Parts: sequence; structure tokens; C-alpha cells
Amino acid sequence: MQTSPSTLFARSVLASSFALLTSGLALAADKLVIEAGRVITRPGHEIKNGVIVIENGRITKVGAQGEVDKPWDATVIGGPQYVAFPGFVEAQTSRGLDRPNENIDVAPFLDIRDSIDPINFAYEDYLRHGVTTLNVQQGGNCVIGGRGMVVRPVGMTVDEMAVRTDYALKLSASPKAGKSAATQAMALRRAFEELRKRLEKQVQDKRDGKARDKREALFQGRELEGDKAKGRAMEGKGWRVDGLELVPRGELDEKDLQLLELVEGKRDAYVWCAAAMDVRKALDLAKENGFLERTTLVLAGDCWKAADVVAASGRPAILIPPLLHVETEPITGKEVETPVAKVFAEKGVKFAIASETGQASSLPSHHVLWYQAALAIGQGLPRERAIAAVTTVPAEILGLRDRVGSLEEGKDGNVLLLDGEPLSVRTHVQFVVIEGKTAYDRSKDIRLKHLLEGKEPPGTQAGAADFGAAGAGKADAKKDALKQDEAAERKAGEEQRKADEKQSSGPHFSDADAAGEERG
Amino acid sequence: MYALLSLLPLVTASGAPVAPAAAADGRGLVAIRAGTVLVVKEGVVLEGGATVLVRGSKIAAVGKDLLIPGDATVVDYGPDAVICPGFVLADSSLLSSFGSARTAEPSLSAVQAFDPYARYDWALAEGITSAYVTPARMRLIAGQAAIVKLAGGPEVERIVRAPAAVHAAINAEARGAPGYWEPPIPPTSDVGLGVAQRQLPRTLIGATVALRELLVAARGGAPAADFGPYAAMDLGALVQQRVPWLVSVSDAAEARAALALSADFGLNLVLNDATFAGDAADEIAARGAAVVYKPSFNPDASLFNRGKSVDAQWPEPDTAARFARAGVRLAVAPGAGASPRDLRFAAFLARRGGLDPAVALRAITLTPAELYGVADRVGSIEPGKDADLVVLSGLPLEMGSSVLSTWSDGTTVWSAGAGGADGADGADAPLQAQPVVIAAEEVHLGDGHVLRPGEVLLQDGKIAEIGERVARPRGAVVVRGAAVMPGIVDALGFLGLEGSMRTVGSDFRLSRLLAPGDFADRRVARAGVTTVGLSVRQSTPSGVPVLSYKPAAADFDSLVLREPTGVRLRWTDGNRARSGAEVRDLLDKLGKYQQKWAEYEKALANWKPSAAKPEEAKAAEAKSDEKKDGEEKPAEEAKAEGAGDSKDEKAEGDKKDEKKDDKKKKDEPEPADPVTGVWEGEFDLPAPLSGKAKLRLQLINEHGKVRGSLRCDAVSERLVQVQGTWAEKELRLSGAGTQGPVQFAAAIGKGKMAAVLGTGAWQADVDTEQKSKEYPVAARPKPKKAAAAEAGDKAAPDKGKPAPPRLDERLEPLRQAALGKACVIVDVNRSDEILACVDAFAAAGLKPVIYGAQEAWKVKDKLVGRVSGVLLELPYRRNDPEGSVSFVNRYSELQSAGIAVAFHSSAEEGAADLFVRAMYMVSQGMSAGGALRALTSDAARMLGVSDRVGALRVGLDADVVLLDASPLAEPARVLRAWVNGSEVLP
Amino acid sequence: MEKSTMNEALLGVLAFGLLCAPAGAADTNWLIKAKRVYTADREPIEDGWVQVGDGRIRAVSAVSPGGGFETLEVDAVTPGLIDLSVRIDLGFDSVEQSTETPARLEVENALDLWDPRFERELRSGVTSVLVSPPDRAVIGGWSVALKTGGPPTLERRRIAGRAALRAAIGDEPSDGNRPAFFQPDSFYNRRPTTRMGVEWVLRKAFHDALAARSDAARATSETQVYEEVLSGKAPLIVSASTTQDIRTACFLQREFKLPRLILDAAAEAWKDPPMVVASGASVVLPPLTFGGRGGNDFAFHSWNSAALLHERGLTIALSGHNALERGERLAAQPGLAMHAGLPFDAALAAVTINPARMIGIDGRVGSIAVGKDADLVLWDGKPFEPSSRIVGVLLEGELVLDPRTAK
Repeated sequence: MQTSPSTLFARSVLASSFALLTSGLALAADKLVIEAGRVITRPGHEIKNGVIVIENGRITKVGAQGEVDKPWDATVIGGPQYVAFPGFVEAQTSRGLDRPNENIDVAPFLDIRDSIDPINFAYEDYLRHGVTTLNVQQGGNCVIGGRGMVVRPVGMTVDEMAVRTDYALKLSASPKAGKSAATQAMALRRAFEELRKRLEKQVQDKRDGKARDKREALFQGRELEGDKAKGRAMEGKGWRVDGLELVPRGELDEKDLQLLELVEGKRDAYVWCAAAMDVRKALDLAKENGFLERTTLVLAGDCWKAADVVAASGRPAILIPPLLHVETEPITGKEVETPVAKVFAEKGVKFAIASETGQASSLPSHHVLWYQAALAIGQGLPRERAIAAVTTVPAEILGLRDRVGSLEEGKDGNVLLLDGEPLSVRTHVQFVVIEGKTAYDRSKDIRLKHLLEGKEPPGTQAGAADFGAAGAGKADAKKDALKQDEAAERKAGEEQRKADEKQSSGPHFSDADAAGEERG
Repeated sequence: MYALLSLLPLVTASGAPVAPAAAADGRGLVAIRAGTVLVVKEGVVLEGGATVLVRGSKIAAVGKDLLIPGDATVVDYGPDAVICPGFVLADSSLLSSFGSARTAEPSLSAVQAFDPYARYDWALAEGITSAYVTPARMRLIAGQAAIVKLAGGPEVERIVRAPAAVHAAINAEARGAPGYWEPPIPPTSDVGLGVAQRQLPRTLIGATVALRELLVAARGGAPAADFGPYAAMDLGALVQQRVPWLVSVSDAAEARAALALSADFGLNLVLNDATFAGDAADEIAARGAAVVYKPSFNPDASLFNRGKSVDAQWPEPDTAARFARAGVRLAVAPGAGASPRDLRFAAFLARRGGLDPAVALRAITLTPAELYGVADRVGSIEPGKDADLVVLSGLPLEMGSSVLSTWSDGTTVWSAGAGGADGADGADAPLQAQPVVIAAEEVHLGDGHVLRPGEVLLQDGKIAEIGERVARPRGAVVVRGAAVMPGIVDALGFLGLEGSMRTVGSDFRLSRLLAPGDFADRRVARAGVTTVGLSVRQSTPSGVPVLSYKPAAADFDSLVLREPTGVRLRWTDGNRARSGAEVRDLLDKLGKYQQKWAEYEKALANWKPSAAKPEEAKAAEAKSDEKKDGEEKPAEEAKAEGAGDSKDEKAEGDKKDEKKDDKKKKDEPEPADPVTGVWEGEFDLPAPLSGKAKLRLQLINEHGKVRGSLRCDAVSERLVQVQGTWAEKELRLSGAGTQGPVQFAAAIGKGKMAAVLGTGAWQADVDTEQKSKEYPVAARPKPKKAAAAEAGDKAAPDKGKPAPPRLDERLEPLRQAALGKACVIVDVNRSDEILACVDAFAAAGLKPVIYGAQEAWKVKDKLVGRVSGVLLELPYRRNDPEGSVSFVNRYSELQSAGIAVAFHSSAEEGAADLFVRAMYMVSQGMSAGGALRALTSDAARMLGVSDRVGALRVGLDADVVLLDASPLAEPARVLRAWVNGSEVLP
Repeated sequence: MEKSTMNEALLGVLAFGLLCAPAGAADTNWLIKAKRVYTADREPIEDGWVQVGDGRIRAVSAVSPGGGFETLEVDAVTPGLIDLSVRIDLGFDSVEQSTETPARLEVENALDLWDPRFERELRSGVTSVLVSPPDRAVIGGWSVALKTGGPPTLERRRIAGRAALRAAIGDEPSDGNRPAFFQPDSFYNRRPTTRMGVEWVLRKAFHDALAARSDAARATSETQVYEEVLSGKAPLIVSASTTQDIRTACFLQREFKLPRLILDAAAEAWKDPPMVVASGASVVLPPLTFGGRGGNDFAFHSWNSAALLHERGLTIALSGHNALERGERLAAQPGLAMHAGLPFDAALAAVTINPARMIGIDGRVGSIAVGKDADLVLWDGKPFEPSSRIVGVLLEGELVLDPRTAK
């Protein structure tokens, strides 16, 4: 059993949260001190009674109580009952999009930012479960998808959310709906062949001066400025088009720019592989077109069978749930279960664990990042590897190694305050601090009541609403009728909970309820 | 020697396919042996035992008398097995046939679509190790095909050749391309919403024109704009590489069109399908084109009409033969719709019209390999080629021979018997022994009858079929020999006693002394003695146990036939006056004991069965057990209980009392309808048949009209659908069984049914009991083993059932004997004592087996029909009363007098010589047939185990002995022996 | 066995003349040593021992009972898990649709014991299940309580033949039925086509059964079935997801005084607990998710419904609906329930002893007690934490998942 927090602790929870109320988390506290009984800075590193000092959104000091001096004017949150933990990092997801994919085979010119809806509940869910950085990418149902974007799950506009814009391209080595494996592979190859042809043609036109009139038509005499006016020799390990320097970049078709950057090795790529047979195709494609070093494989299904191939390529991977692959042995007819994460770990592949299956469902079922990591441990993955797979490794994959994933000086102040051992079902995220600002406080989580008791804000979740809201309404009406009854029930409930506390450190929904009703 | 090793590799295969350890590491040497090796190259056939030597993944050597290096692992499939090259699918639809939008897409590559991680066990199970895969179908030019391995090395090495061919078509297959349309890209408004453009071809002429245009363009001629910017360019590269063209044609006209094209453009042409193109055979040959012929059949679809018009196409069975005769290079593949796993059958069909089997075999191995330029790796068994082999139970293109094992790149990738491929079956079942077909000139059934020639099928440990030619289940091994007989039964021996002279009580469980897999025991079994009636040396008046067991059994479960098998008593006493006294006492006790049981049976008869919860029943039993703790429960009580039950039924519902509720019946039968439900019974088969048979009826009564099903193996192998009427308490049913019509008439009362079951040949009385009053809901048919398993457990006792009297371990065997389910062996020698003994037992309703019986000959006519047999003490011959030098063979003497005799060893390992003793008896004037009966069926009947062993009859244990000559009549020798269907190995 | 030892055996046996244990029984004898033994019906034991012999639990104690059996050492041991709401059947083959109330039928006659889903359950710690007919009929017939492993015959796997009578409310039973226009043209032109129709059929069934008590003429083999439920011999397990369906079930209980009512898939039971409490029904909850909504009729299944119901003293069981993904299976459900505040002991009970008691098989399974079947789950960490592993499963003493190899 766990160490049960005494009522004193419980009071101090309220105390601190009321403190926040008064000080108001809205005010941009550019100095924040977080105190915790345990500070887990990164997998396997822990400080007892630690203190984290965050100034202007960056961590300036991490250390044990007494060793670090806290700014006198800093807001202080936390307490000895908390465990401070780096914010989780989601290596790639399509949650929060109206649709994960556009119906065009090759659409690198699309940008996910136009699809992101900041008030989508998905981001709230991410926050609630302690994810502070996530890479929003198109789904796997494409040949070449649009550009992704790294965001933090707070903010009312996309710009507020943005961490890294105009980010990586999504490619799919597995057949898009309506394609066969062969036609998909051909479409991928063609996309780059055509790019090359178009570039060569532009160089040719330039050489024999055809480009002039075209440019006139395009720019009506306006001259290009800055880099756009300059041509630049093509780089890239895969193939090159000679003489591209003759063509000012501004004259290139904007539909080609992103793909060109990819070939020049200037842009990251996330390649979706739904089956083991796709892995080699993905790697070959990346190699031929010179973006292998920028490639991250997104692996689902039976890709573990190609673990050797992945390991040999030395590229990182993102593992998509389910992390336990089940298939039927054709001869015996028995089900065979394979712990995917364990297999890749044993092959020495660097991988992150993702929480989302590519179907872009906004409702988290059991596909929640910390939960998936915990399951991976349950399937034999060493605890350190599992935690790294949702913090430091994805940070590295996203090229944010120096900003997120661990609690170290100079990094973003993304800190979780947990009320227990990380990755345990008994533990809940009490506070989320993102870049020095308290982004989430469980005691004020209104929609938590919705998830706990179905009291949902009206008009949310179309389709569901008809039944749920109606049902809830009825239930409420009934409640009025049975008020005394309920009151009695509640009292009884209190007794019961008191008793329970003896054996379990279960959270206090009742308090949350109470708070909620005070507000309501 | 073959015989001993033959089944080893199969037996070792468990669960997943296994590879010999040496081969697994990719370097070791493996010598694969079999009776016949079909090299295919130049039609070479190695018979009478040949070896394929494999080093790593390649074939090192092949030959009849190779020198096998010492470090080689030897895998021997036996003299009947045949090894031939792994089969090559000349065309397949393994990959999705989903094509590009374009009508011609030469750059679409099969390699990109092939999944090397997938498992193709279904193909390996048919010996197919390489396959032609095309990225798409239903297009003029579908793309670049490849030749791939379906198992073996790591993924990259699975591609044998790519591109292996251009997959094209000018027949109907080419006309499936849709209109072409490319979605506009939104950000640029200048692209309007496109219109789908028509694509060629829709006709044969259109197809030829389109191909011409493409080929011209490919050669740098006029560009073929209609086919997109890439088609011609990509095609150019392929044309330059001289990649073969696989062009689908159906009839002669299309074939000629294709030939014309190839003539003009110098294509390396392979005609695909060509089902109706027999007329063009000569032209095809003249042009040097090859054919992948697809016989027209589709096992999975209903037969379709070909049309009555004059130009309707009718396939000619001899088309393949015509191609071959004309000198066309011929490959064969399963037709469209047929599954690739029918490859061998396709080749079999192609043989119609006189195609040489060798050519047909070449058409699914070497020829396709040559056509696609992979003959340097697959297609024949030659040194240096990949070690892709198929091991079959007979010649590959002979009906009924099946694949035993498949090798790819030097490792076993599939083995018959490695778990049932039909998941459910394989899931929980332990690894079953191979089905074995034993073919012999003489099959001695053991009851005197002989089949000449005949075959016996051993499957799942039982004898599954006997006949002139029996079925060849998948993976069946065929074994040939001169004669087959049932396993010999040693009627009384001490095998396993280890010289112990101790004696024990008749309630002692002899099985506790036995352990399976004992070496000496197996030696005895390999000498043909598969069943031993075991007893201790010294019998006592109070009785010693008799146990029938199988010395060769591999595990405890199959070790014991029935325990106790019976009891052995000593009648003779040192003091003659006391002879038989104790035995008589015993028989008196038996009388009382039997009576209790009789009363119990009666109570049981009155009591009405019901579908109650088993554990309640167990509870009830437990209760009754407590009650009659100490002394037995008087019969009255049992009766009362029975009556009590029926009372409770009326007073249904109101009772709150738990105890009573326990007794309450679940289902009142609808008074109108006592018929509906499940009925079961067992009955003795009338002469000439013998043994028992089970009967199961499922009936539903609809206002007097009754329909349902009847299962009775004696009547029909399959379920018999019956229907009939139910009128004034009489039920009449009729149906058609696999052995002719089945008649069934019955009178019903109180959940019991007294019936007469009749076929054309015989009729028998059957008493059945109602097991349930529900006509079962449609349930999915369970695998065979399941049914067997449940049949075993049917006896779940019902609630409120009168409890049986307590078992008396010493008397039970005797009671069973009285019921004919066990044997009683009595040691008695003197004629007067023999008579006294027989009388005493007759009074108890018993027919003893007389052991010793020195003077039995004196009273032989008094013994006829009153003893179940005689086991003679030595000497087995006596002086002629006339005192001359001539002898009388006491065995034949008694046997001819109509008294069953059996041979017994009274020995341990000595039992092995039983067969020789029988031979000697024959030399001493006993009939060979009679001696065989004494060795087998009579001995089994004396021990009361004739329902399991002692004869060759469908349903009996598969204990079979294979000899090299007719048993007893000739100096025969036991070659091999099977017990419970698996061979007895040293 | 060596010949010599055989001989000794013979002499030994003759000397004492007693029957020794049958050979080959050794593999069902184990000694399990666990840092915590969760008995489920009594206090957990620290550093406890469980002795298993011949398929049953022989001893549970804080000190080693010895016995010379092979010892398995693990972090924790719990009873085998029990799922009252697995969905393993042959679909419509296992439900008789010719009538709305095929109550006499027993689903056990339409089961495929080779279904790999049974073994999947066993692997993930579920040793006993209640298999019910699909909810296509209003009263689908008798459910059967089975072990998920062992020899694939009903007789060997069955724990209780008529463990509960299955009924269904909601739109599933009326699914496919539609009113006839002009004249009936289809088998489906029949009642019920609405929830009220379903309820009507249900009420009629029990109403007739009551009538049959007084008037024997009206007794049929079907009323006999309902009689068993009315008299409390067998529980009635009703699939009801939304509040209104649950309410319907409770009204039925009140009207016919059903002594043993089980609400299955009762996602919204938390919305009106007092009524459920009043009905004395026990509740089987559908799988929990982090998202809430889902399952039949879009019922809203809030995170903490388990905790809420438990607080009000209701007997609850959790269920996994034989999910494929490990995170959804029964073994994960207690964890999710605890995440929303259910105490550990309650969560443990909700997958072991509670379901066993609901259908009256707690005499054999459901807790670690001497004499019960040795169905045990061995854990390498705190039970029900997603990060701890099921390293061993014993079914009636047989080691179906071996902790020594699972490492």
C-alpha cells in the first residue's frame, strides 16, 4: 500500500490552492518556485525535498531545499507531499484535428496549423494527463502529408500554443485508402521524380531565358527581395539538380519548397509504417532522397518484426499503441502476444512511445501517454526506458533536447506536480506548470466533474449530448426530489471515505465536488 | 534401416515447423533420404532409396549411394516417401490485384507489394516454395512481376528475381481499367475539376493497338500520350532488359494476336492462361513462345454455364497435352478463381489427354523456373541450387499422395502433423501421430476373414478404414508389406512383474507396477505382442487381479486397457475335499451383491431423468454417500427416494424448502410431447457383426410429425436425417444412411424408449434413455476430438438419481464378468473339478476361462458354450489314447470342438515368442486361421477387451502388425508394429 | 519409473496395502510464497504462503506449511479473476430468435470451447467467466459459468450450468424488428420494436410465471424457468446501460420481488444510486476508459462510477468484455477504477469475490481460502497497476503461465 497522506497534508493542498486563488494564477508570475518532496529531474535521477526555480519561463535552479536560494518575490507552490516530474512529451499525434488527412496524395504545402482548434478538448485532456509538449502531425492516410507543428496544450490561439511552427512533413510508406502497397510505393517515388523534373525544367527555362515572361506574369514587375531574390545551389545527399543556383528561390513554385527542403536535408520527416513490410521501403525512400538523417519512423502493428532493419538504420522510432501485438499462429491457431516496446529495446532502437493510434480520436480511451508507458513497463520494458520514452527521447526526436523532457537548468519550466509515484493509477496530476505558468490545477478542473460524474457543459460532444445531457438532466431532477436522501447518502459517503483513507490514498473527489458547487 | 527411422522427422515436428539443428545454423550438413528422388532435370528418377545432401541453404549433392559424411544430420523419410523439387507457382494472385488508375503502368513493382514477413504456410503445406507475384491485375500492362520465395531466408533474400516479367493482358482481364482522373489540388484555382478520360482497351483490337502504340513509343517512336507521361519511358527500360512478357490470353484468336505482337517487336513471349487456346498450339510452338496453362476448374465456386451459343467456349481436357505434343514449353498453374494451393491438382488435370507425368511435374517446377530465368536457383534438385524440397507420401502427381514435409533454403518450413492447421483442432490437442495407410497383399482381420489385397488406415489412434483402397488423409504415410494382422494378445502373462512371486488381493491395482516406455516391453511389442493379460504368478481361491495392458504404450493414459480387466481364481486345493469351497463362498457373496445392483437398476428405471445441474447432482450424491456410510443403503430407501421424486414433481413451485427444491425437476415435459429431445443408447450388434454400437437420436415432434437426426456408426458413417410419425405411443422413423436405408420403430414410456433399429442387412433391439427434453439449438459443429472427449464425459449424473450401492473392489470384477465386461480365469485341471467349477459359475451366471485345463479334453463336449475359453497349461499335446506314437494337438482338439482357445505366454519377455508358438501349433495340424484367431480375437474376447483390440475393425484401437509374408501359413516375420496408431520404435 | 523402483513399489504397496497418490499428479502441487497474499475475502497476509495440492488450495498461512512441494516466489498473489460479462459466444448462432423469450435454452449448448478468446482471458488472469447469450432476445436463456482453461469439454470446464438467467433491456433486443405494413412480409415484423415493447415482454414473462403458481394449468416449461428466478434459486442478470433501462430493471424487481437481480453493463447506474440500492441489485460495470462515454446506447460511464456505487454500499463487479488490448482487459479495470478513487480492497473484491457471490459460485472460486479451487494470479508488482505484470496463472493447480519462464 502507499503512504497515506494525513489530513494535515490534505489541508495544505487546499491551503496552497487557495493561495493560488488569491495570488491569481492569471498574473504572469515570471518568478516561480516549486517545492516538492521528490524532484525527479530525469529518468533515474531524483532529489529529495527539492526546489525548482523558474524565471521568465526557464528553469534557473534545481536542487535540494536549502542548497538553492529562492527569489524573495517568487510565487511558491507545491509542498512536501508532491512529486515534481518533467512534463510528458507526445512525439506525434493527430488528436485535436477535425480530420487527420487531406484527400490529396501529395500535399506538402498544407500546414497543420490551419487545422488546429485550440479549444478542442483533446488539448485539455493532454494537459490533464500531464503532457506539456506535443507534436501535431497529419495522420497516416496520405502519400506525402502536410507540415506538422509542435505545440503546448495551452492558449486560446494557435500562436499562443506554438512551440515550433512549419515543422516536419508526414509521409506514409503504407497504402493510403484506395491504394495498394505497390501503387503507394510508386506514388512516393513519383512525387520526388516529378519534383526533380520540375526543378530541372526551371533551370532549363532559366538557361534559355524562357523564365522571364513567366516571372512577369507571376510578379507583375515586383522584384523579389532578400533571400527570395537569391538563388542557391541545391544541397542534399540523395540527388541534386545542377544549376539550381541560377533560379532565385522566390521563383520556385511554392508547392515544391517543402519537398525541396526535405531533399536538401533541411526538414524533418515522420514516416508512417503500418506493417513490417513497409519499414524497408520507408528507409530506402529516405535514403534515395537524402533525408534519412532527418527521418523518424512511426511504427504500428507488426513492425516489431522489422526491428533488426530499424536498428541497422540507426533511426529513432515512435511506437503506436497497442504496444502488445496480438496475432494468430497459422499452424496452431493459438494467439501469440508480442511486447512491442520490449522487442525494440532489446534490439537497441531509440524509441518514443506515443498515445494515439493515428485515428485521431479526440476522446482518450485508455490511450493516454502515461498509461501506455506504464503498460510498457508491465510488458517487461525497464522503467527507466519507459519514462525516457515519454520524456527525454521524444524531446530529442523533436529536436527540443535542450528545452523539454527533463528538469535541468536552462530548460523550459515544464513541471508536473504529482500526488504520488509517477505512472501509477493512484497518482494524479495536481498541477501542471508550463514555462513558469501554472497551466492546470486539479482542484479547479471543472470538466473533471464531467468526466467523473457526467455533469457536462451543455452542447459539448455532439451526438453524445442527446443521450448524456438528457440522462444527466433527468438524474438532476431526480436528485432534487431525493435531496434529504442524498444529503444522508453524502454524509454516509463521508464516513465511508474517512474509513477508506486508512487504506488508500485515493483522491478527494468530494472536495472537488464541494469546490465545484461553491463556484456553481 | 528405413523402417525404424521412417517416422522420426515427423514425430519430432511439434507445434511450429522445426529444422534439424545442424541445418538451422545455416552451415551444417543434412542428408535427406527417401525411397524415391525426382530430380526433374532431364527427367532423372532415383529409386530404391536415394539421398539429397544439403549444405547450409544449398544442395551439395544428390544420388543413390552417396557417401554421407559423419558430421551430417540424417533425416530419413522412409522407403515410401518421394522427394521432388519445391513447386513453383507460374502465376498467382498472392498480392492484392488492386491496380493503378492507369491502363498501362509498367513501373508498378510487385517487390513493393510483397510482404516477406507474412506467413504462407497454406502454400508451403502444398509444397509450393516459390511463386510468381504480380503487383496488379485487370490492366493492359499491370506492372513488373517478381519471383519470390514463400519461406526461408531473411526478407531481402526472398526476392529471387525482379523484374521477372512484364505482366500484361489482351483478354478480358485487360479491359477492367476505369476512366482516368486526377484530383485537382485546391490551392491553385487555375486547375478546373477534371473529367475522367476513357482509357483503352475495351476490345481485343483495342488492346493490340494500345500495346503497339506503347511498344513503338518505348522504342523511342511516336509518343503514346494517352497512357500518361511515364508508361512508354518505363516500358523502354524493360524492353531493353529483354524481360519476358507474360500476356494473358484466353482463346486461339487472342493467342494469335499476342504472337503477332511478339513477332513484330521481338518479345520474349509467355502466353498466360490459354485455357481455350489449344487450336493455336502449333503456331505458338513455331514462334517459340511458351505457355502457362490454366486448366478450367474452380473448386470453391459453383459450376457456371458456358452458354449455348455456337461461339460459346468449351475447354478441352487435352489442351495441355496438345501444347506438349506441339513442342510448346509448358508450365501449369491453377486457373483464375482456383486457390494457388490447388497447384498439384491443376497439374493432375493437365495430364488428361495423355500428358506425360514427367512433363506435368516439370510444368510446375523446372519449366516455370526457366521461363522466368530463375532456373539457376530453383526448379530442380541439382548441386548448387537452393535446397527447396518437397517430401510426399507418394508420387507428386498421383491421386491421394500428400505432402509430408517442405524444405526451403535447407530448413524444414512445414511438416504434416505439426498441429492441426485448422486452429481450433490444433489448439489443445497434443501432437497426433501421422495417419498411416498400410497396404498389403493380405489383410488378416483376426476374425478369420482375409482381404486380398487390402489397406488399413490408422488415424487418431484408431482403425479408421479398411478396404481394398482406403482414404489418404493429408499427411498420411503409406507403408507397404506382404501381410497385416491385428496385434497379438498374450492371454495370460507376467510381463512387467520382474520375477516377483508375491501374490496380492484381487482389489490390488496392477497398473501401479507398470511404467510406459519400458525397453523390454517395447521389444515384446515390436515382436507383435501389443496387448498382455497380466496377472501375478500365484493365483488364490480369493482371487488375484487380471489387467490387460499395452506394453508399447507411450504414456499412462494409453497404457491400461481396462482396470480391473478381470479376476483369476484358484479352484484346485491341496486338499481335494476343500477344492472350490472358498470360490463357492465368493460366488454366494457375489449373488447378494448382484441383487443390490439389480434393485438399484430397478430404482433407476422408475426414476425419471432430467436435465439438472451437475454439481447439484454431485451434492446429492455426496449426501447419499454420507447417509449410507458404514453399511449399504437398503433397497427400500432407494425406492422411496425414487417415489419421493415423482411426488415432488407434482407439488412443484409452492415448496420454499431448499432441500426439496434440490430435488425439483428443471423441465416438466410437455405432456403432449414425450418424443422431442435427445435420446441415447448402446446395443449389441447382431451376427454377423459383433461388438457394441452407440445410438444417438435428436428428435423434435411437431404435432405427430417427427424429424431429427440419428447417429449410429454401425448404420452410417454420417449423421442420418430421419423423419417419421408419432402416433398412439408408437414412433416410426426412416432415413437414408451411407449403408442403405435405416428403419426405426419404438415404443416410448417414462423417458425410456424400447426400439428396433433396422437396416437392409440386419436389425437389432435398442434401449435408449432420454438425455434431454430440448431439441438442441443450432450449435457450431465441434472438431472430432471434441465430440469424442464429450462422449467420454456424457455420464454427468442427474439430480435426485438413486445412488448406486457401494462398490466392492473384490466382487466388482466378478459382477462385471457376469455383465460380460470382464473376465474370470479359474485355475483348474482335473476333469471332475473342471465340471464342478463350470457348474458353480454357471449358477452365478458366469462363463469362466479355464486355465490349466489339463483334462479339459475329456469333458470338452460338456464345456461347449459354458466356458468363454480355455488357456491350456503345457504340454499342449497329449498322447493318443490308443497309446501309439501319434500325438493329439490339444489346441486344435478343443478349437474344433467349438471351444475358444488362446495362446498365452505365462512369461515376461518370453511373450515375444508367442508368434513362433502359434506357428508351431500350425505345424502341428492347427488351422492357420484358427491359430490366428487364438492369437488375436479369441484371446481378446476371453479377456473381455474385444471392443478395443484383437481384430482389425473400424473403431478398434490401431494395434497393427506388418509382416513380410502371410502369417502362420508361411515363415513370416514381423517387420513393423503400431500401437494406438503410432509405430513402436526401439 | 525404473524397474528396480517398480519392484520396491510393489513390495512397499504389499507391505502397507494402502493406495498411494496416482502417478503424474505432481505437477498440480505447488508452494507459493508471496510478499503479499491478497485473499480477497479476508485481510491480506504479509509474506504469506499458499499451498496448492491436487488442484485445490490446501493451506494459506504466514508461515511455510512445508510439504516439500516446489516453491514459486512472487511479489503478490490474488485469486483468479472473474468476469461476469465476457462476450464470448457464436453471435446469433447462440441466440434463438424464433421467440423473444427462449428462456429454456442454455447458451452452453452453443459455445465453442476452442475459441481463442478463452485462452486470451486465461493468459491475462481471468480464470472464471459467466458466458451469457447475446442480447438479441429479451430473455436470452441461461448463462453458464465456466473455467477459461482445462480440458475443452463442458463437463470439465463448467462451474455452474444454469448460473443466471439472461435478460436484456435497451434497443438491442428490439434491434431488427420493425412494424409490418399491409401484411407481414418478414420474420422481423413483430414485437417488440421499442423499449416499452421490450419491457412489456419482460413483464409478461414474469407475470405469467406468477399466475402459474396459483393456476397449474398455466404452468409451462418456460414458467418453470422464471419460477427459479422468482424463488431466488438463480439470479436474473439484466443488461441495462442507460438510466432509463436501469430504472426499468429496478421497477421489475420491485413489482416481482426478484430476490437476486444483477445489472450488467450498467454504465449509468451511478446517476441514480438510491434506486439501485433500494432494489438490492448488484451491479456489473462495463469497461472503464479515460474518456467516459461509449458502449451500448452511448451510455455515459463516468470514471468514478465504481467508487460512487461502492460508497453507497452496492456490490459491484468490473468487467472487461474480452478486450483485445491489454490496457482494456479485466486485469486493468481495477486500476482504472482506483484511478477514480475506488479503494484497493474494493477493487480487488470487484473482480474476485463479488462476482463469485453474485452468481453463487463462491463455494469454489473467488478468494484464496483452504478447499477452494487453486485458481491464482501471480504478480511481479502491485496488483492492477498497469506497470506490474501478471507473471503466473494457476488454473485448478495447473500452471498455465509459469513465473519461472515469464521472467
